[in-house]
Amino acid sequence: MSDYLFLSKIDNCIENYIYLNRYTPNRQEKADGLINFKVGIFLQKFHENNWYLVDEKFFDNNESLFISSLEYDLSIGELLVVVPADSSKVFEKKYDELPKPLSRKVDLSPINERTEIGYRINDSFSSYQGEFPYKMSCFKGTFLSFDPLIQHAKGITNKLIFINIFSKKIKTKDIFQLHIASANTKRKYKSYDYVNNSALIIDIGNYNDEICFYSKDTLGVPIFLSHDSNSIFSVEHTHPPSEFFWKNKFHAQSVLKSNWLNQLK
Amino acid sequence: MDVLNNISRLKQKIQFDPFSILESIPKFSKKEISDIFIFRFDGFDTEFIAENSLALLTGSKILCDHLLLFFDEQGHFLKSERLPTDLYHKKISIKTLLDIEKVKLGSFVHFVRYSDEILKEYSSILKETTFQHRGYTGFKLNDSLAYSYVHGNYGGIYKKHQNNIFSVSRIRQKFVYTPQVKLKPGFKYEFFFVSPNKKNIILDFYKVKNNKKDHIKTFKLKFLEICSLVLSFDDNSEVYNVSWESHLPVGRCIIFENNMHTNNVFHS
Repeated sequence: MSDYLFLSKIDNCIENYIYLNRYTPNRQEKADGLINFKVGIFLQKFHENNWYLVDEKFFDNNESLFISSLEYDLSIGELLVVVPADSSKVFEKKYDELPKPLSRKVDLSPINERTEIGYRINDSFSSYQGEFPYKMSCFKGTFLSFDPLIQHAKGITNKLIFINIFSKKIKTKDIFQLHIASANTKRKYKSYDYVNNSALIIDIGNYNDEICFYSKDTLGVPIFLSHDSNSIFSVEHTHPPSEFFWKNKFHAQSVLKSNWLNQLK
Repeated sequence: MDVLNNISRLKQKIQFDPFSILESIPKFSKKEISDIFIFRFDGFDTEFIAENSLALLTGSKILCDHLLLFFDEQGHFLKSERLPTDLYHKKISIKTLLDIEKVKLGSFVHFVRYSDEILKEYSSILKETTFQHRGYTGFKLNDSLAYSYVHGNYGGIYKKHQNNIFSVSRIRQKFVYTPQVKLKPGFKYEFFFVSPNKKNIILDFYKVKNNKKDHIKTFKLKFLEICSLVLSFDDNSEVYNVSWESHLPVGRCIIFENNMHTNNVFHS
């Protein structure tokens, strides 16, 4: 198991950062917890189908790395994929397939390697411990999520940041669609275009209804961000539908998705 | 040789499995499992977002009762509440259910109940399904506009009858957990941990720097007992990473990170 990390430009006010350290998060006591690695930072522009090495970051004598979206000249929705790699690995300048990330695990301990993924406005920030699993980047998939993290207090803006990483070779850059629909009537309210290897950023708006978000084109990680002009209040991802189930998770997830996606046009 | 390899693989799997090995045998698997959530009212408000599991599975509105069981800081049962709804997700203000003058900190678990008619109607789909209640908790400072949400973390709690609850959590060899968190000068950090295990748990916190660890504090916890480690850093403090050790393969804290500008809550 190994994971990509990511950064994107949300808008002209919100900074996106990641923090990672050299300690493997979850391990048995007898395993050594400190790991040697570096990260390569890759970008696939909206209309390109190759990955370009934008930067490399090394720990040098430090235990941690802090990487901010403000360090890079990005357009809104462009996605930097941060790829952990062995310190001795020499990256090419250009790839048609994104390099597989190094596993930062040292044994079979159950929790994924992750990073602090945070968003900041001025002095206010919010974060979660997250990742984009390499396995997910190898499949086209579909996407379904719900609206529980949307907040309705006056003055609050809710954003969906939909992260899509497809690490395999892409022949042509297709335009995909993510939809917002009523969870009750299944009626479609709005559709948004996106492409592979980008962050689709949506100001969700107000609906007097329970809503759902779906794409029949690709999978993705949905991050919900609640903020006003001065403060970030909340950043969290919703559970993938498999997490509603204890056993046979992926069978149950496929039943759930098919029940919903067959009704959602 | 194959038999020996299989035994060795099974032994290794068990060493890292956070749950009872019986859970991998369908006959013994439980029908509903809940994470453990915390509430706090010491200057904070708490909201819970409950999932209507069968409605989400089928994609259709189904009436359910959300059943919440509350426990105090020491893990003693406080009360249960049933809340009917046909919503896919219901936001529940926890302070409306508890006497927040008497109880400032505690935990709760969540189950979902359906009528016999509904259980009969969906019996074929339910036969193959074990629901897991993860939900989300939101915490906000009393004067704040909005919540900081964190999804369900870890629990493995099931209910047998009345309000008796049990756990499929198991203790193994000692595990270390080091979150990817940058502790910052000028911030206060609170690490909340609820024991999911029926046996008493020992939890050791360490500061970690340059791959060396210094002991901070040890907690001994009974089932569902909560501990909190508080670390405050002034603007000139030397900061470090934090680790904790226990015999739980998944021993994760809920972390509150606060200063005058920020209320950040996340699971480790």
